[in-house]
Amino acid sequence: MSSPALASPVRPSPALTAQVQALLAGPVPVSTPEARAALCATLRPLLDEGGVLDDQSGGVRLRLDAAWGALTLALRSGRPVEHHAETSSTNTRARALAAVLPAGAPLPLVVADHQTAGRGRLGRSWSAAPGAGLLFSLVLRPPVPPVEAPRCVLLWAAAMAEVLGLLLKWPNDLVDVEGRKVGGMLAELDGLGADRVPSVILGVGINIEPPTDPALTQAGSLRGLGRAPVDRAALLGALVRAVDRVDPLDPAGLDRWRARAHTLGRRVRVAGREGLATGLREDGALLVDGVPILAGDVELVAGEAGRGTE
Amino acid sequence: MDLQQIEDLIRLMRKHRVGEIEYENADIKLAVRFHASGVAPTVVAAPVASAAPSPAAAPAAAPASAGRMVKSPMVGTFYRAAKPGSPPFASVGDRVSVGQPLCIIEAMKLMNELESDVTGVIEEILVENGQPVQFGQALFRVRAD
Repeated sequence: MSSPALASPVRPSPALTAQVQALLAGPVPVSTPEARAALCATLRPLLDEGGVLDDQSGGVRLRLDAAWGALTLALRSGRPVEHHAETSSTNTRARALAAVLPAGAPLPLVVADHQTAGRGRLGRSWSAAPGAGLLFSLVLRPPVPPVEAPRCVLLWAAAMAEVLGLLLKWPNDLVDVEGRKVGGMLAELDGLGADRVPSVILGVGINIEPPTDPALTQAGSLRGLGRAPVDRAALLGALVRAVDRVDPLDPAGLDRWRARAHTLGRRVRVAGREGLATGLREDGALLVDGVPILAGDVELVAGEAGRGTE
Repeated sequence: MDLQQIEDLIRLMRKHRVGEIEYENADIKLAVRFHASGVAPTVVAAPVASAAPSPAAAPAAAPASAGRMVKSPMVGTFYRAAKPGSPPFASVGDRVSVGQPLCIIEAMKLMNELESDVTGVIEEILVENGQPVQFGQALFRVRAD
């Protein structure tokens, strides 16, 4: 178990970040054995996380494709990172960090290899064997009033679906073309009504391997789609950077969600209503026969290739 | 008060570095607050209960029971507990303090834990668990200390 009193998230210096980028891009000349030893010493924390320094003609090159750890993830994602081999819930940790995070401070990323009490909607559990999935939480502070925060979550979900080549089940499940759930997210707004900067905590779980839990045999995975990443840290970094590039003020932002929608145009049952999912309203509400739905689990109506995913 | 006037108000507040303002007349009650980060302001507007001005003898100090209303900051579904089967965050008669979670409002799978902005005793819970709530709708009546 992780101890409650943790060091602050790992954040590489700009100098180290620049050096690592150069070493990842191509061979960097190293003139003497002493210079190489000095470089190894500088990179020691990264090499300890699985980074490899290759000697090539023309110098040395860094490979991080098998590396995994706080510093690797911070370099890949561009955020300060708190990494846990195991934690109860990344959202719980991210909330604790957000609660004391001053305005303007860099926003952290919390990553876990294994979650013992991962949460889904309404307290449903979401667990994964160590390394079988990507489990992380982001602290986000979009420059919008809290009423517009739900729309932001759809924008972030669409950005991640683009990176993963997946579709979206309303509001923000990541599904394959068959509608099987490959990933999901739970967003929480923290600090509402309180005297501090409100944050959105975006918890994300993505199946790399097929879940072993017999209750989840309907779920999909990146492995099942033939798209399991060789470099997990690079994929996680790409997901985080895609989220961080989202402009919450872009008026056309939800078109990216619509372009990846699995739900739209299908017959669904949600919130006690059955009908055709006709569209997505500008605040993110699902329109079922034109009626806006703000909360609930979408079920495809039988005959609609209905493979339930919840 | 129209949208243009609200925009003017926000512009003036920004110019003069006013962090928070509340305004009330017969028709509307408006609160504009800038967050500490200096990002977009929150604007909360609610129609004033349209009690027709009672002729004469309006009781000077209406009972009003000094109840402070905790209102919903967004449209969504109201939940009194973190998950089904869990004890509710707060019940009638409970003492609550500033920052204490009172309920969850869910909108599009975004869970909003609403914290109390008042210290006192909950006198009334105005919405049933699982019911939809509107922006600005009163959720709790709290007798403030």
